[in-house]
Amino acid sequence: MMEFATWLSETGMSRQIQSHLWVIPALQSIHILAIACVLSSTLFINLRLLRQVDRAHSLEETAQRFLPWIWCALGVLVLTGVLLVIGEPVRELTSVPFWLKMVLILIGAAGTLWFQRTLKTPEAGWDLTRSKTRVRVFACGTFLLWCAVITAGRLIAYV
Amino acid sequence: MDIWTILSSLETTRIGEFIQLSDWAFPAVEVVHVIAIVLVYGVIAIVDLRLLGLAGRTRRYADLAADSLQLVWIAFALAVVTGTLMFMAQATAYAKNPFFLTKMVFIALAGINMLVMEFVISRTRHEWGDGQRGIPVAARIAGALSLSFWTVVVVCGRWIGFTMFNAPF
Repeated sequence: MMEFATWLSETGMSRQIQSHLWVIPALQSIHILAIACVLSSTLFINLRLLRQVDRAHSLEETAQRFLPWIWCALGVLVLTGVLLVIGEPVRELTSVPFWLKMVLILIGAAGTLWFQRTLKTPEAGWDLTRSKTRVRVFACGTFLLWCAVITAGRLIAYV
Repeated sequence: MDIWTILSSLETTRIGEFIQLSDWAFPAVEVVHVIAIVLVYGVIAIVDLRLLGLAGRTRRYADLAADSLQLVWIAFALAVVTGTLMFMAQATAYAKNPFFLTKMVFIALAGINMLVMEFVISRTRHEWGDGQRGIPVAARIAGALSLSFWTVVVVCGRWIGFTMFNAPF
């Protein structure tokens, strides 16, 4: 991985990013605004699952409102994330929190996809009164998962 | 006693020294700060985009505002507490940092905008109805200002990490 990171850091694109000091903070800023979108959209869906917000609308309506924002923001996160890796390959690719973050993102995205796919199948049971434990675990779990993603992301700077 | 004496005395308080010297305290506080500000920004953005008619147009503004208010305050309180802790560790350096000062100015502007929205513009919110037409122009402007101010706050916040004397990126 070190060899690959070193090779990547010598490519033209990486040099371009490195040579302008404002590029990395700008990419990180967009990265943070996009994760704000993911975490807040997840929070609203989860609070709707727990029947705390958006009560005038059905769960499906709430999900349909916020899921596209989550997927678009994840697209922005991947794009800015890839550029950040190209800009600072050794810092990112040799960091333990970075790889932990990648695993957590995959779990988060898979969980969101699973929720989206099973939303309309009645046996999946996203009704709080019928599947209390499952809904609560999913709601708290996915929120904490994205918080863990942010935590791992910030710790790349330290570990 | 001038401001710099007060600021440097913050750095030598027990808490200030602890955060400065500990290996884990600053990153831990910073992580909570990031999660808190991300929630402040994200939830406020949901409300602002509704005011602007760019998202959630089928939602009544009054309902959305009621759902969001507590969330924003909890997250904002957490951001202020963690922000103060980070500030205490290097108060004099932060006070000289242009991005930190800009961030504080824009938090104040966002606060004023919020007060005007809360106590003047949105007093009639229960009459605004479901669609976009009911949202007054003043409320749309307040939404646009809020979104812009908070974006500046987040971006300046990130830039502080790159311009502070000995803060890690």
